[in-house]
Amino acid sequence: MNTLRRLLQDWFRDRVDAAPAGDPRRTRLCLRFDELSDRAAGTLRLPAARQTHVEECQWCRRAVDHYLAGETTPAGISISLGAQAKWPPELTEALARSLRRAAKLHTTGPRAPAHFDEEGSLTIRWTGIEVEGSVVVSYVWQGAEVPLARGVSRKGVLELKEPLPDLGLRNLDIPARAFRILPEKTA
Amino acid sequence: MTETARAADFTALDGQRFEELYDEHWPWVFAVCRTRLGDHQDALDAAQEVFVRKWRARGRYDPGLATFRTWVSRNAEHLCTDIFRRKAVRPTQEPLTETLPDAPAAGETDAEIARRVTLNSALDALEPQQRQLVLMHEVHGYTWEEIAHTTGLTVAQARSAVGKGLERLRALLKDAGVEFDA
Repeated sequence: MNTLRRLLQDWFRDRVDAAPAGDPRRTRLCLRFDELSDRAAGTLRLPAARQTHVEECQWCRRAVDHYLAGETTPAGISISLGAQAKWPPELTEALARSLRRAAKLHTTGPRAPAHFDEEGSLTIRWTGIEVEGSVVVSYVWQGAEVPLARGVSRKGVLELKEPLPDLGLRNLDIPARAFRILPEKTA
Repeated sequence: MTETARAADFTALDGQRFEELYDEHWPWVFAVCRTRLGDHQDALDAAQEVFVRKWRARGRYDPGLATFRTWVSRNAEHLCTDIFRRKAVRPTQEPLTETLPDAPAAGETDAEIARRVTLNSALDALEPQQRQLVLMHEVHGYTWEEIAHTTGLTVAQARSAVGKGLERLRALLKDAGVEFDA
């Protein structure tokens, strides 16, 4: 019987036969699946040639992005501004871990505009901030914005008004795209 | 060794076993993503994401419930549905004919070639998600409930979309002179 279903099944088999044997972007230097976790945590040690490859390779970077996308904010935790001192330890640890990864994964590209100094204070060096007045600085975490602190932006200069909890981060540069600055909503 | 037996080792799944299964099933998963999404690069990225997701979830894989191919294919369908939603079902960027072999397969007659090319064009004419639903049901044998669960549609919506899609396909093929049994 030469049914439409049979035609479609044959058509799909053609598609499988016509597919490349493997992802053309993946090379023998690329990350293996069992290396993704350590790479995402920034603890993977590789020979120099592979290290360079992994930092520059599109497949490797996307693989780590996909891996990290599977991580979620610790369940049952909600965050509100002004309550940083009450952040549960697991949130603080997870946030610090995520920020470290963000710093390690983006060693190329525009220079980081945000920096944790040796005392753990966050300085944001953005210029030309378009928002004026009270703002909220958030960290973009798995597509969600985690509010970190309130601040005031005047003529392109941002001043944080609230200290962050000590995340244990020292001398660490964070890429700009990890943060978002938005006007503070008033009730 | 059968796939089930090989995948049984998977519970302890070391990286080497997973890499072997990746090599074996990547073309299938890519073909699923390519025929749903239309775009070649999107399909490469989606296939990669499927395997990374499954690597993370390897501890939950039960070879007694599904073959590895079924397990990854379901995830590919889920992901394509998510991508349709994120992109608000953007139009196909490349024709589906792009990765089909240029040369006829061995023994393929002129009529078969013409039918294959016409089928490509007819499937291209469907909306991406409608094409996904038709292929899930007609090619891969998903039940209505499985399609509804995977895509977030109701069973009635899935039935309706597949019915309309098949109706359109039949009309396009008939206009093109392709003969098939009802």
